[in-house]
Amino acid sequence: MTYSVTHTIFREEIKSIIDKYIKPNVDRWELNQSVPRELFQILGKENLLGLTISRENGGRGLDISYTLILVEELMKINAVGIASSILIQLNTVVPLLARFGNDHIKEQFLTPIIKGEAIGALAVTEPSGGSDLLKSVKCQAERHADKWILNGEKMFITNAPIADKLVVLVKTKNSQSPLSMSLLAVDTRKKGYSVNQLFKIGQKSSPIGHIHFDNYEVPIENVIGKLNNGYMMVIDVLYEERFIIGYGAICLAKEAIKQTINFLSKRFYKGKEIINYQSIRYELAEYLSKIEACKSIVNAVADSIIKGKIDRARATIIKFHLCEIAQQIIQRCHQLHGSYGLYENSWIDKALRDVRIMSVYAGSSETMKDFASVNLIPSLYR
Amino acid sequence: MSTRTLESIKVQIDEIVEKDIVPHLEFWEQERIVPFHLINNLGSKGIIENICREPDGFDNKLYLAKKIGKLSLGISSTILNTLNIPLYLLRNYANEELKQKYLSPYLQGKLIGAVAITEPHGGSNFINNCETRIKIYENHVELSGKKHFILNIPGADFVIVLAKSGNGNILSHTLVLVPLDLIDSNGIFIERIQTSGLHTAALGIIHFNNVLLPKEYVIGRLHKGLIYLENALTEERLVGTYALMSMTEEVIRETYSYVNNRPMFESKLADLQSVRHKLAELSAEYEIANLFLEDVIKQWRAQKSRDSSTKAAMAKLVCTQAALKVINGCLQLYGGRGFLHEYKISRIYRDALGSTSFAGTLEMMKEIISNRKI
Ligand SMILES: Cc1cc2nc3c(=O)[nH]c(=O)nc-3n(C[C@H](O)[C@H](O)[C@H](O)COP(=O)(O)OP(=O)(O)OC[C@H]3O[C@@H](n4cnc5c(N)ncnc54)[C@H](O)[C@@H]3O)c2cc1C
Ligand SMILES: Cc1cc2nc3c(=O)[nH]c(=O)nc-3n(C[C@H](O)[C@H](O)[C@H](O)COP(=O)(O)OP(=O)(O)OC[C@H]3O[C@@H](n4cnc5c(N)ncnc54)[C@H](O)[C@@H]3O)c2cc1C
Repeated sequence: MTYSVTHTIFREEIKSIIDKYIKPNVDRWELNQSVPRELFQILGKENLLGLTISRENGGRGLDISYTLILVEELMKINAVGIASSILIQLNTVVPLLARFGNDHIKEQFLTPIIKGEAIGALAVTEPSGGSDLLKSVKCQAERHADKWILNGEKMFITNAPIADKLVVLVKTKNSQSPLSMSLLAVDTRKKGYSVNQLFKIGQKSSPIGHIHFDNYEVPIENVIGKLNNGYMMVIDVLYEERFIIGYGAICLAKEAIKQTINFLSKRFYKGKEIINYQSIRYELAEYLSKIEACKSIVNAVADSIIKGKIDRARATIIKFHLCEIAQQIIQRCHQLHGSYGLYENSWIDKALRDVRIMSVYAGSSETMKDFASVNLIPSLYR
Repeated sequence: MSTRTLESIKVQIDEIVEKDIVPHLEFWEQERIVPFHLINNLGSKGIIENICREPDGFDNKLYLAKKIGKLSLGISSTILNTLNIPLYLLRNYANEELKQKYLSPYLQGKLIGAVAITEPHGGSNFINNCETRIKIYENHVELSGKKHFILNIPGADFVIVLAKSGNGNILSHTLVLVPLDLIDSNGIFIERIQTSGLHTAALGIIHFNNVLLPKEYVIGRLHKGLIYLENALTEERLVGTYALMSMTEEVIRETYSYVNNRPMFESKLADLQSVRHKLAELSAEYEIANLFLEDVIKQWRAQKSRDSSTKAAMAKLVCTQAALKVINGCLQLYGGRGFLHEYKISRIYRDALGSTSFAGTLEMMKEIISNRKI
């Protein structure tokens, strides 16, 4: 993957939007434990919520490399929670609606979400577990004449406390086959729907919620894509989301190293800047090399996406491996801040709490290894 | 001392833990309340006096560290910090007058102390770059400077401050006791730091602007401060690490129970081989580190030698790394729940991250070890 001048122009555009609208608010949103509705309105106005969606569908028609730029710039300002709230829409909700939605769904769901008039969320995980969806999805949609009647719960859903529109994975057939679930486009504002926010120790600006559907009515035409094919569609878009998360993690780690270098250049031990002690220089040099190495695999997978078929094995490796590397690096950077790392909401404190979640959401490291180790990764060596 | 009194002190400690701490713990953590009154409870039952008395005192202190450590690293920091360095310095080096005024009520749990070594410009560097100065006059001393990240500030009734009194490096620091009851009037200013984690401990900054004190408030002899602190810091490392390891063991225990109870449909998490192997690996890390710590503690108590204090630095290094690895690894096994406030592991994870640099960072432990051994 090579970056062109349009990338540079895009980066400048993103930077100025971030500087103007996001950067000044990072701390406040963190404190409020939620991004506000206006964030989506602003991004929608700037047409940043449909980056990779075709122009006919209201997007910008760009490739995934532009999403990477957006992520990188958000990580530079340590806005991991904010990024999560944006990315779940950008990489899962919007592509699902655009690729598989019928005209009604596009008009009622995709368009308002891309315009920033409505906030979207992807509801997959349930209290019984997020790792093995084939077994854990209990939330059920039953057909009654011209309606779906929804019953069940969804847990840990990013943006749920503020969302207007959901893409929900539900059971539509009584079997444990991968072809027993469907995706429904669901409005949140009606009777029988409730959500309560869950409070957590990291990524505080991205609100997550526990949703209950109680005989909730959904119009019959709100099935996204083919009936009973929901699981396959979700799994498909999650590869991209996971790949982006892995990249975000190492961008954050790189920034953490910069912060650490800066900090230790101003701290002294026996009259010498701490940054000039050999053990520190060697350790940080090792981390910087690791991060550079990670960028190559990210570029390779980005290329595969641009060519039309994501390299699933390497995208999965990126999710579990890069998130773990980033986490280790940031934890050490946190230690190297000494007592200053303990200041609540200091740069490094926030980065460490935020990066930790990246190894769990959108598929925990263990689940990634579990399923990728059977076929996906071995297939690279056949 | 007879085994009966020994038993009874442990029973008293258990009682305080069960009645005075456990029922309130979650509330204190949530509201960020520092339960200083526990010191009073310990004192009134004779526990503080007991832990000063050999041969069993140290054992009982470790028992206390273990019991409280496994509940909350914030509370154990508050209590152990009170019972370690300030008490040690008062007992061993304070003059009779100071002992009368401060040690007696301290033993009854009526006073809380703090010790201020670290400065804003670098805590690892306290020997060479101590900017807090003490000027010695005929009948009084004058203290100026700023100390950073001090436990029990605000909250303490007095703080023992390390200040530079000479121009060299080694024999040029003096310890002085500063009463904090007259804060506003005598040039002392305190701020509490909002910390990420350790919410049941107070950590603060304290400024001294030309504070005048009677000369009797100097602890021990002039210029001998660093020497007095050496053993105290070693002991603080051992006891603090002991509390951390107790929490680590508790985390392993609770995680075993979590993976055995969290249903995974027809099976449970513990049925997964990788989960079992992970916990086996983490248990091994803990066992190796913890038994080493127990050995080092024994050796330190018997010898108080330079070699055993080097081993104490090793134990702090090895144990802290093991504890972080175990707690981080266990957090992962909770999945998304590990980050929610309702789950205790989320608090312990934050607290543990915060406690690595008390009484010297891991790099400083490596400095001590490599300077002496290599
Ligand atoms: C901040 C945050 C935001 C989230 N946002 C969303 C969202 O927007 N939409 C959504 O649908 N979900 C969301 N999730 C849910 C997330 O995807 C799940 O938390 C994740 O998939 C793990 O599921 P779980 O928490 O139920 O863990 P569990 O399934 O209970 O797993 C517990 C532990 O067991 C391990 N484990 C599970 N199976 C195996 C196996 N086969 N082999 C080895 N180990 C295994 C796991 O790795 C984990 O360590 C979010 C979670 C968080 C924390
Ligand atoms: C829970 C807690 C309680 C505390 N309570 C007290 C207290 O009651 N009283 C008190 O006086 N202090 C207290 N401290 C402060 C503690 O002693 C200091 O945090 C510690 O000494 C480190 O100092 P610093 O934070 O200024 O880090 P710095 O000295 O600025 O160090 C920054 C980083 O650089 C590393 N480093 C420094 N020099 C070198 C070198 N030569 N080579 C390689 N790496 C190096 C350090 O290890 C650290 O990671 C407490 C700290 C904690 C976390």
